[in-house]
Amino acid sequence: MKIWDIALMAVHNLWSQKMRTALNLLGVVISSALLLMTFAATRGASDGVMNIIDSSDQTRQFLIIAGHKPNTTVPASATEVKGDLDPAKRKRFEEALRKKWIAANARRVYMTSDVLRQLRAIDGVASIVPRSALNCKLSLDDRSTSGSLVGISLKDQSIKFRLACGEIPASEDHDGVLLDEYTAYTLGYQSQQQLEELIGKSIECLVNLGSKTPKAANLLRALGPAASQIDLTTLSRFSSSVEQLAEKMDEVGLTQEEKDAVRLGLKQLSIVAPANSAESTEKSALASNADTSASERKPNERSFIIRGVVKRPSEEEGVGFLQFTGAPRLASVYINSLEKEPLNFQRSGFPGFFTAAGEVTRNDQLASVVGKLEAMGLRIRSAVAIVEKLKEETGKARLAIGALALLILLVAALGISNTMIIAIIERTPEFGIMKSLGASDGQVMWLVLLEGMITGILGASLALAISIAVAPLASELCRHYIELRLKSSFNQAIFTFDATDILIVFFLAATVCTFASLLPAWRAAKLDPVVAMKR
Amino acid sequence: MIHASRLTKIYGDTDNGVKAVDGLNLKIESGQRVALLGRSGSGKTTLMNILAGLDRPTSGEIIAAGKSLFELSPAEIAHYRQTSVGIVFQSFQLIAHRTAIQNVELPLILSGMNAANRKQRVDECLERVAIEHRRHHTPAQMSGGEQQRVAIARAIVSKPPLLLADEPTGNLDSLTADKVTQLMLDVVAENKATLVLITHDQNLAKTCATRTIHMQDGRFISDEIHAEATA
Repeated sequence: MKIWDIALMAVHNLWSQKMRTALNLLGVVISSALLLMTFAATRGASDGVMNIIDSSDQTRQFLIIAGHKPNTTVPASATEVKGDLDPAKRKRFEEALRKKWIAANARRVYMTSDVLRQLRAIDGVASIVPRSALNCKLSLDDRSTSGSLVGISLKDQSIKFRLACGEIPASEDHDGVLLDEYTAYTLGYQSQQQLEELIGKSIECLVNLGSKTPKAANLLRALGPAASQIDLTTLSRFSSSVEQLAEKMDEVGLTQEEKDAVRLGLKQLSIVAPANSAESTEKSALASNADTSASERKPNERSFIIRGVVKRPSEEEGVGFLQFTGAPRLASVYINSLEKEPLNFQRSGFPGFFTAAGEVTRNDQLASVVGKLEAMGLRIRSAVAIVEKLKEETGKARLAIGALALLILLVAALGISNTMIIAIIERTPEFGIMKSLGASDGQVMWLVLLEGMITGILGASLALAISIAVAPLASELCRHYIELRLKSSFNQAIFTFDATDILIVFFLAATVCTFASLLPAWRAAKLDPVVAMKR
Repeated sequence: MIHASRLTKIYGDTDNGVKAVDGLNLKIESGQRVALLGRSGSGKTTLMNILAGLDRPTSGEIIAAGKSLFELSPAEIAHYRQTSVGIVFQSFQLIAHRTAIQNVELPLILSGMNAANRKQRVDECLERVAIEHRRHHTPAQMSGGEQQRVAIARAIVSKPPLLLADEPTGNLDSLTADKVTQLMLDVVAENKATLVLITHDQNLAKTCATRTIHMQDGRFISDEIHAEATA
C-alpha cells in the first residue's frame, strides 16, 4: 500500500466524517491561530522597534569615550573598605574605590592619531569621527554672529535628509562646510533663494580658545576655597574688571615691572592668555594652517566654503531619541572632521580626543566592533545592550505566550485523541473489513495516524488563513493602544508572519495531532477482524 | 490445495470453553467447490475464518498456498488474505461511506497496485457483476442484491485462488439469490478458483458444490463428493 493511497484514504475518511472532523479542527485552529498570532505579534514588535532604531542609524553608530588601559591590576589595599557593612554595600563600595583608583592611577587611553588609525583598521568600521565642538564668532559679508563649529560624520544619513540646499561636502573637501539654516538667517539669509546664494561663499570663523577671555569658571578655580565666600554677581563683576585690567594694562599707572608681574600672575591663574610671550608664539605657529595664504590671519581664525545649508531637525525627526552616539546634531557650522585642527588640542590640553562618534558598515557588525573597542580600554555607548535586551525580552514574551498556546494545543490534542478513540470504536467494523481484505496492522495504524496528521496540517492551514485575514483588524486595534502608550504615531507592522514561525506552527500542529492519534491508531491496528466485523 | 489437520478451536479456556471446531482433518483440491452444511453453531463460520486466516485455531495446522498458515507472521498472514483469499459475507460487509468503486478497489490499494491498473481491474469486475451503473453509489443507495454483487466484485478483484462465501444469499430474496449464486459460480469458473461455500441450504449446496460436508458440533458428520454440480 502506497503512502499516497493511504493519505487519499485518510482524506476521504475525514471528509466522510464531517462533523467529527470539524470538531477536531476547531480545537487545532484556535490553538494554532493563537500560536501564529503570538509569534507574529512578538516578531512584529521586535522588528518594529528594530526598524525605528535602524531608521535612526542607531544600530550602526556608537560613541567612544576615552578610557583606561585595560587589565590594570588594582592593589587590594586600594579597595579595602573598613567598618562593619553588609556584603552588598561592601561590594558596591569596593567597586567605587576600584573605579576611583583606576581614574587616578591607570593610564588613560585617548583617541590620539595612532589610536584613531587602529580603530579605523578594525573590520566593519565604516568611520570614526572624533567629536569636537569649538565656540566661534562667525562672519559673512559684513555681518557676524556667535556659534559653534562642529565636526560630524558627513556619512551620517540624517544630515543628508536635512539638506535644504547645496550638497554634502566630499570627504577630501577639507574647507567645505554645511551651514545651519538658523545661523544663515541670523546672518541675513532668509529665503530659499538667498540660501542658495550662500553656496560657494566663504565664511570666517574666529575660534574662541577660552583662555583669551577671563571666565568666571577659571576665576573660581583660581580662587579655590575662597570662591565660596563670593556671590555669583560679585564674581561676574570681578571677572569683567579683571578682563578690562588685562586689556588696559598699558593705561594703568604701574611700572613695567609691576605690569609684567600682574600679567604673569593672571596668566598663572589661567585667567588670561599669555601675551607676546614665547609660548604664545609657539602655539600660534602650531595653530596656523600649513596653507601660506592663511599666514596673515590670526592663529585662531579659519575660513571655510559653504557647500550646503541644513535644516534644524524637529523632535519628530529624532533629535535626542535613541541617540547613543551623543553626536551633536545642532551646530552653526558642520565640518567633516576637526581631527586635524590643532586648535582642538590647544584648547583642551589633552593628547588626543576624549570622545568620538563611530559607525559600522552593517548593523550586525556593531556587537563585534564594540567588543573589540572595549578590549582596547575605551568606553562605548551603543545600542548593542538595548538591542540584546530587546531581543531577550521579546524572546521571553514569545516563549511565555507560545508555551500558553502550546498548552492550549495540547488540551486540543487530548480532545482530538478522545474524539478519535470514539471514532475508532464507531468505525470498528470498517477496520475489521479492511483487515479481512488483507490490511496489515501497520497499514491500519498509518491510516489513522495520517488522519491525525492531516487534521493538524489542515487546522494549521485554516489558522494561518484566519490569522492573516484577522491581522489587519487586530493591527488597527493594537496600533491605537500602542500610540496611546507611546504618545506618538507608530507606523510599523504589528503582526509579522515569518516563514520559520509558520513552519514551526505547522510542525507543532501536525506532531501534536499525530501523537494524539497514536493510541487510537494502535487500538485500531490491534482489532480482531472477526470480532470487529460482528459489531 | 488446502490441507488442514487436527484443527481445534475452543472459545474460552481450554478445559471449560466451547469447542467450535473439534479435531477436523480436511483436504480441498484446487478448483474444488465445497459446500459446508450445518445448523447454526455447528462450527462452519469458525472453520471458514480459520481457512481465511482471520482466526487462529487453538491447535492443529493448515497448509495453504504452500505455507503453514499459522507459522506465518501477522504481516505474512495479512499478505495471504490479500493475495490468496476472497471472502463474500452474508451481510456484505461493505464500507458504508465508500462508493462501489472505492469498496471494490480497496484490496488492490492494500496490495499497492498503481491507480491506472486499479481502475481497469475495478471497471472489469464491476462490469462482470453487472453493477457498473452503481459505481458511484454508496451501499446505502443500493439494494441488497446490488450490494452483494459489489461484495462479489471486491472478493474476486484480486483474482484469489480461494473464494470463501459465508451464506452469500442469506439476506436476499429467492430471485436475487439465484442470480447472485449464478454470478458467483460463473466468476469462480472463469478464475478457476476454489470455492468454499457455507450454507444451511441443501439446495444451494447441491446447486453450487461438487462436494458437500455436513458439520455438527464442530465435527464433520458426512463428506460427499458429487459427480457434477447442477449449475
